[in-house]
Amino acid sequence: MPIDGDAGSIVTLVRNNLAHYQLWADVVISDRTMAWRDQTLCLITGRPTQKLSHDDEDEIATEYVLPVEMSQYKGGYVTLECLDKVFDQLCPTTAKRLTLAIVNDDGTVAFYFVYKGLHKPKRN
Amino acid sequence: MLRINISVGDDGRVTSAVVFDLEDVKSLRELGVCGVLCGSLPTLAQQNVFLSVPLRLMTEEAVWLIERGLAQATVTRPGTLLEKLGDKHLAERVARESKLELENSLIRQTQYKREQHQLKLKKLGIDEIRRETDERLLESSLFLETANDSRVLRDEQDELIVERMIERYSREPHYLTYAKLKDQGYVVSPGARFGGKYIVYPGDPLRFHSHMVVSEPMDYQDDVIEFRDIMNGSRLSTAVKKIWVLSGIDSQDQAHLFSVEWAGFG
Repeated sequence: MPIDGDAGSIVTLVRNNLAHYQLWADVVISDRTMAWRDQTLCLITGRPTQKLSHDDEDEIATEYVLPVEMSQYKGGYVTLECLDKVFDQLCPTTAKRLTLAIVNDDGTVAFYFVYKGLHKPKRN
Repeated sequence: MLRINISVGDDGRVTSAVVFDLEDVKSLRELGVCGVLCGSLPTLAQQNVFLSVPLRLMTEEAVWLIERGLAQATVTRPGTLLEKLGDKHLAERVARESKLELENSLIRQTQYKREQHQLKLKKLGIDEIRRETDERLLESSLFLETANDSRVLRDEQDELIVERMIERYSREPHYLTYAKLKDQGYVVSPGARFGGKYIVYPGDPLRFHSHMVVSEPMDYQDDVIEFRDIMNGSRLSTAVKKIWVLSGIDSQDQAHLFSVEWAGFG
């Protein structure tokens, strides 16, 4: 799938990665969108196959995934203010974290958790 | 009150902050300010373990302690040295004061040594006979402190300089980040060992492992997050059981913190 800066394509790519590679359940591209600079951001929700952190409760909760581009050869667009807005406008108040899906231009996706404020590292 | 010796540049920036008193070093530790011991012996300048006082503080630590009224500053401004050396009145005054202080110190020492000597004789039950050789011996054992630049460097407008320094740092991103962490009760150390700006401990570093590595503060509104930097920082942090913390300063000088860690997959 080509990555040409069109937000639609990275969202689909991450959705496919979660559904078919990570084998998450109930992977859905959320209807809610947020305009940010010249981008339209939206979240993907889904449930992983197993607990992602030992600190999580036993029941697997819904994760909120924000697809973003690695932007190696052009200016990025995600700022800290943008993350705060995503937390406020796109995540429900019950969300304990945001998962960044960082899409590289070769199609690989790396997943990172973002917590608001200071958070203890997960136990391993 | 705790005393920190700070050196301030002409632009109002703190160029060094050190503490010499061991009691002060202990109180600092209780306040969660650890610093780095850097004192060595002149004859063993290559020594780099088992160092002693002075304790070197980060600029942020010194400013925070002074700003919160937990410590007092002794200020030196090396930039004014040339200016001061040219001041004849000041030179004369310093010479006069140094001489007076030296004389007083010799009198005090002589008195003390004589008392000690008498006590010793009394203990041994010997009557004191004053001999000139004893007097000369006593004189040769006195400690002569050589006057040096420090007196000239000492700034007499401490309060004004401290006020200006606090004003300057009250908008400085590093200081704002440090203060935000410190005000939440954490112990904060320099972070170069883990590729960050600060390392954050939940308590004394001798009792706890650190939990967080804080990155160089960025602008909350304008700076774009470099995802490769995030990956570098949080991958390394997660590998050593820490979390990577981003700090951003907004236009109201508020620090916003976000913690990032590798999700464990992908």
